[in-house]
Amino acid sequence: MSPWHHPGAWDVLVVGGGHAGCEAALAASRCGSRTLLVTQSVDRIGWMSCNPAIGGVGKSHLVAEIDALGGEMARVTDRAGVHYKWLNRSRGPAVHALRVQCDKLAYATAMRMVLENQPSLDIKQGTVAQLWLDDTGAVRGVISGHGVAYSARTVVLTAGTFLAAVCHTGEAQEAGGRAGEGAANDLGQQLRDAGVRTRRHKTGTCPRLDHRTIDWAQLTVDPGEKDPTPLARHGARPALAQMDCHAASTTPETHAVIRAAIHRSPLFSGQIGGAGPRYCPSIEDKVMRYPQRESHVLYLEREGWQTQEVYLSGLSTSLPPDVQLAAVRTVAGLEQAEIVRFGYAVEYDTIDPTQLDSSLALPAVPGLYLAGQVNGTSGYEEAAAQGIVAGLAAVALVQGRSQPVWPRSESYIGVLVDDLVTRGGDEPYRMFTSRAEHRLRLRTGNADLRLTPTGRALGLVGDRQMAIFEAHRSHLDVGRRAMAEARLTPTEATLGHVEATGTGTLRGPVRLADLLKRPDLSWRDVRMLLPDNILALPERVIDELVTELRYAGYVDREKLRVARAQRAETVTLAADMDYRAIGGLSAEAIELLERVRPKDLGQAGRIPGLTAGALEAVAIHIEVRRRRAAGSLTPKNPASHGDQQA
Amino acid sequence: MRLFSEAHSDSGLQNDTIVAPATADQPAGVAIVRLSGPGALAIGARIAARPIARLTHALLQFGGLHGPSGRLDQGYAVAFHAPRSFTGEDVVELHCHGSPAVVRGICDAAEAWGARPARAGEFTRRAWLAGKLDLLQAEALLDLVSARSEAGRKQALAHLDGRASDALAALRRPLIDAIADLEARLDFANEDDVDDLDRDHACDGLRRLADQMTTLAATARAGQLRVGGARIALYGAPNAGKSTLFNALVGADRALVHHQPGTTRDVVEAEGLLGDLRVTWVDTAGVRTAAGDVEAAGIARAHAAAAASDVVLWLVDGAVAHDPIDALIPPDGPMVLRFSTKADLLGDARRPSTTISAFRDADVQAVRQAVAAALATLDGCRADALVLTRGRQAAGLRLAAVATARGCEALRSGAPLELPVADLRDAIDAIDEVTGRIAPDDVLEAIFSRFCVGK
Repeated sequence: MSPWHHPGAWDVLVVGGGHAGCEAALAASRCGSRTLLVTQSVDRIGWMSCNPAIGGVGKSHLVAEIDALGGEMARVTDRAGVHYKWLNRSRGPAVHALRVQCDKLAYATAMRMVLENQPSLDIKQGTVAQLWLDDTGAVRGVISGHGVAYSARTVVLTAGTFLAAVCHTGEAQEAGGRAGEGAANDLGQQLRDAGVRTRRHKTGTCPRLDHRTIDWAQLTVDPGEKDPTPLARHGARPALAQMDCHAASTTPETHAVIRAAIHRSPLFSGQIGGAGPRYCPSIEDKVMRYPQRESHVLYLEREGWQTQEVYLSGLSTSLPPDVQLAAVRTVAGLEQAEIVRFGYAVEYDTIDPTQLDSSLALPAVPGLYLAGQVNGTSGYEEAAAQGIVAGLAAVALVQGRSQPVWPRSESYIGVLVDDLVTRGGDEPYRMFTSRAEHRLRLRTGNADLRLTPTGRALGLVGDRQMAIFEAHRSHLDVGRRAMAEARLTPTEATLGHVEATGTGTLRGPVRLADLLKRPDLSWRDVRMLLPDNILALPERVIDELVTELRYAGYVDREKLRVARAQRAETVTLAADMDYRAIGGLSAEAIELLERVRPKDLGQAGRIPGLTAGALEAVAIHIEVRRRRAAGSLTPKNPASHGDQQA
Repeated sequence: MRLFSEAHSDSGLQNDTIVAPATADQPAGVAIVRLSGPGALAIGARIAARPIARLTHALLQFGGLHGPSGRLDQGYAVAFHAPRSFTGEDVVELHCHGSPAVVRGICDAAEAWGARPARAGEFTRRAWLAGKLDLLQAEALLDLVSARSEAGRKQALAHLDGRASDALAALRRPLIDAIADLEARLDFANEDDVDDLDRDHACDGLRRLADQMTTLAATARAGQLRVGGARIALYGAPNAGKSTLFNALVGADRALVHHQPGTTRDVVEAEGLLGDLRVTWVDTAGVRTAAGDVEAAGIARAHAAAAASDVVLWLVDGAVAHDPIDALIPPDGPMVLRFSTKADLLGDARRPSTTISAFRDADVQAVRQAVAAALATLDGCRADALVLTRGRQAAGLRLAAVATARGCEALRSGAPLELPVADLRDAIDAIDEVTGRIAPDDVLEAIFSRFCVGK
C-alpha cells in the first residue's frame, strides 16, 4: 500500500513528543523553521514516565543551561513545581542543585500548551513506522503507521524508549514503550538496514500507590524550601501550592520477600538482556548487590494535586505484581497500601551514539538527527539538552548556517554531547558533575553568562530574557569593581561582627574580598559590613561575586587546561580520513578511530583506550601532510651510515 | 602548538621502513644493521637472498648478504615478526662484518630496495608508539646504552624493568582513590550510604602522599650522579700541586706539570671510575687575584668548572705558610674537601693529618676514598634504592607534590570539595606527563632526539 502524501512540507520534522522532542520542536520553530511534531500520543506530550521531578546533581546544571539558551524545560517546571529542594547546599557552589518535584499532569499540560501555541509549529498524532529516504539514502520525511507520508528536509528522531520496546512486569511481557502505549517496531530495523549499530537497554520504574491507603503519620516528612526560588532564571515564582515529600525505608523483611522471588525477576532470570542504568538500580539490584544493608531509603512523591497516585521512588522494579505488593506492605506506613500501577521494566533499542557527529547528526543518513534516550541516555534533562542541540543543528542545516559548537569547556551540554559521540558507553548515561573536567567554570550560577549570548545569536532567546540577562551582567560588572575597591578597617564594631562568624578575627585593614573568601564564612552573616553599593545588588549577584572570589586561583589554573585542550582542537581531522594509511597505528587504534571518527585531535585524545602514542602518530601524520601541502617540506640530508649522534 | 621539530620535516611517516646500523664504532669484528617497518621482511629477504617465507621468526640463518650489484658479505640474518619485535613492527637484523664498507654497502642496498635512513632515536620512538615502552623506559634505554659505570647500568636496568614506572603508579593510585572519595560526596551526597567526609583523615593521607612524592623527587640528585657520573674539580692557588694530584688520580700524565706557577691555563678533564660511579676529574688553572689576560681567562674557567662540579678538591700548598686566595666558591655550591699538599716536602713533625703527597700511593688512595665518601653523602640513597634519573622526572613529581599539598590544604581549610578535586587532578596530570600517559610533544622530542641514530 503506497502512502498518501500529506500536502504540507516542513523544514524540520520531530518524531516523538517527549522531553527531547519538545525542546527540539520549540527550538526549531522559534528559530523560524517550519516545524512538524509527529508523536504517538498527543496526550502524552511532555510526559514524565518515571520520577515526576526535574533537576538533581548534574541534571540541574543541564536544566540551567537549557534555560540560559532559551529552552523551555525550566519555565514549564515552575508552572508545575510542587516541592523545591536544594541539594548539596553544604557543598560548594559548583555542585549546588535545585531539584523540583512536579505535578505530572500540570507539567505535561503546560508543555503541551506552549507547543500548541507556538507559531511555525504543527502537531500531528501518529506512530512513525518508517523514515522516508530517497535514492541516495538521505532523509525526505517520515511515513506514519496510518500510511501518511510527511515531507521534511530534516528529521529529528527522539524515539525515547519506544524502539522495539517490551514492558516486563514479572513474567508478563507486552510490547510497548511505556505501560499502556505501543511500540515502534520497524524503525529500529530500518536504521540497522542503513548500517546503524543498535544495542539494547533497559530501564525500570516504580509502582504508584494510592494516597488514601498510606498511613502518612508513620512516615518522615521531607519539607520543601519555604520560599522557593524559581528554576528558570527569569521566570515567575512557582505557580502551584507546595506540598511535602515523605520518606520511608525498606526493612530486612522487604529484602527477604524480594530475595525469595528473585528467580521471578526478569532482570535476574535473563528474560531481559539489556543493560540497565547503574545509577538508577532496581530494588532487586540493590538487595542482591548490597546484602549487608538492612534498609534502603524510599521517597513518596504524590504525583499531583489532582491525583491520588503516589510515586514510590527507590523501588524501581519488574518483579511480579504479587511480589511487589508483598514487598511494599512490609514497609512501615504502607501495610495497607494499594498499588494503582505496578512497577515494570522496559527494554528497548538504542543506537550507539559514537556513530553521531558532534551536532547529533547521523552521517549514515543525511538529514537525520537523533536525540534523547534513544541515544542511550537516561533522564529527562539529558534528553532535553540533546533535543535543543539536535533542533538547532537541523535549523542550521536548513538555513545554510554554520553549525553551533558545544565545547566541553563551555557547558555540561557540551560534555554530554561529547561524551556520547566520543565515548559511547554500554549503559544508560546519566550526567554527573564529575564528568566535567572544567567543572569549576560550569556552575548553574553562571549558565547565563556562558550561554545566553549564544542563545540570542541563534534566535532562541527573546527580548525579555535578554533584557534580564543584560541587567544581571551589568550588575556583576558593577559589583566586581566595587568588590575590588572595598576595604574593611578593624573597628570595635566590625571586629565584633567578624568574630561572631567564628571564622577568626581581623588583624588589620583588609580587603573585603579577602574576608569573603574565608571558606566557612557566609556573606549574609556580615552583610552589615558590606558597602551600600554592593548591598544594593540582587542577592544572586552577590552570591555569584563571592563564588568568583573563592574560585579565583583554581579558575585560572583551569583556564590553562582549557587553553591546552583548545590547542588540540585546532587540529582538525577529515571525516573520511584514512587511518589505515598512518603507519605505527595498532589495529585497535585504527578500529577506535574509525568508529568514532573524531573531528579534531582534542576529541581523538578523549577516545577511551587510545594511547598517547597513537595520538602522536596521528598528529605527526597530519603535520607532515600539512607541510607537504604548504610546500614547506625541505628534503633533509639523511644521517650518514655509521654516524653516531648524541 | 609545535607538533614536532624540523627533524621530522621530510618523509617522517611511520609507514616507512627504516634502516640503520645498531652498532657503533666501526671497524669492529661484527656489526648489526637493523630494518624496521612494513617492508623490512621483503628487503631483508632480498639482502639475505632468501624467500620471505624462509625468514622464520627469531632464527639466525647464515648466508650471503647481497646488494643490487652482487654479494657484499656473508653473515647472519634474523627476522622478528610483528608484533614480537623491539618496535612492534617487522624487524630484520643483518649481522655482518663490522667494516665501514660492509655496513655502508648493506645500508645502501636497503635504501635502494625501499628503506630510508632512520633518524636519531627512531627505533625507540616506534617502540614507544607501539606501546612497548613508556617514556621512563625509553629514557632508561638511553641510559643503559650509554652506561659507563656499574651504578649507571644498575639504575638504567631498574628503570627499564619498570621499577620507576611502578613507583609512579603506586603514587597515582591513592590520588585516584582520593578523588573518587571526594567525587562520591559531590555527586552522590544524597545517597544514604555516602557519609560525610572525614576531612582531617583525608588530609593526613594526602600530606603523607605529598611527602612521598617530594622524597622521590629528591632522589634525582642521586640518580643523576649514578647515571651521569660525578664531576670533581681540583681548585686552588697557582702551584698548589693540582696537576700533580690530577695525574696521580687519573693514573696517567694528562696534565702538564711544572714548578713554575701558572702552568695550567686551560681546563683538562679525564674520565675514570671511582667504585661504582663514573667520575670526571677536572684540572683547573691556579686561582689568584692579580693576573694578565690569558691567565685571567684560565682563572675564569677554573671558577666555572668548580661551580659546575659535584665535589671540589681545594688544594693548599702545605709548604707555604699563607693561602693567598679567599673562598671563591659559592657557599651552596659543590662540596669542598680541603687538602694541604706537598707533604713530601715537609718533615713529619710539621705535617697535619690532612696533608697529602701526590707522590704517595696511600695518600692518593685516601683522597679517592674521601671523594667517594663525599659522593655517597651527596647521593644520600641506598645503593639498591629506586631513584629518578632526570630533572624532568623530578620536576614532574615536585609539581605533583605541590598540587597534592594544595589539595590537602584546601581540604583542611574547609574549602568546597570541588576545589581539592581540581588540585588532585592537577597532581595526576603531572605524574602522567612523567610516564608519558600524557605526552606533550616538546617532551617527546627532547627525549627521543637524544638517542643516536640506529637506536
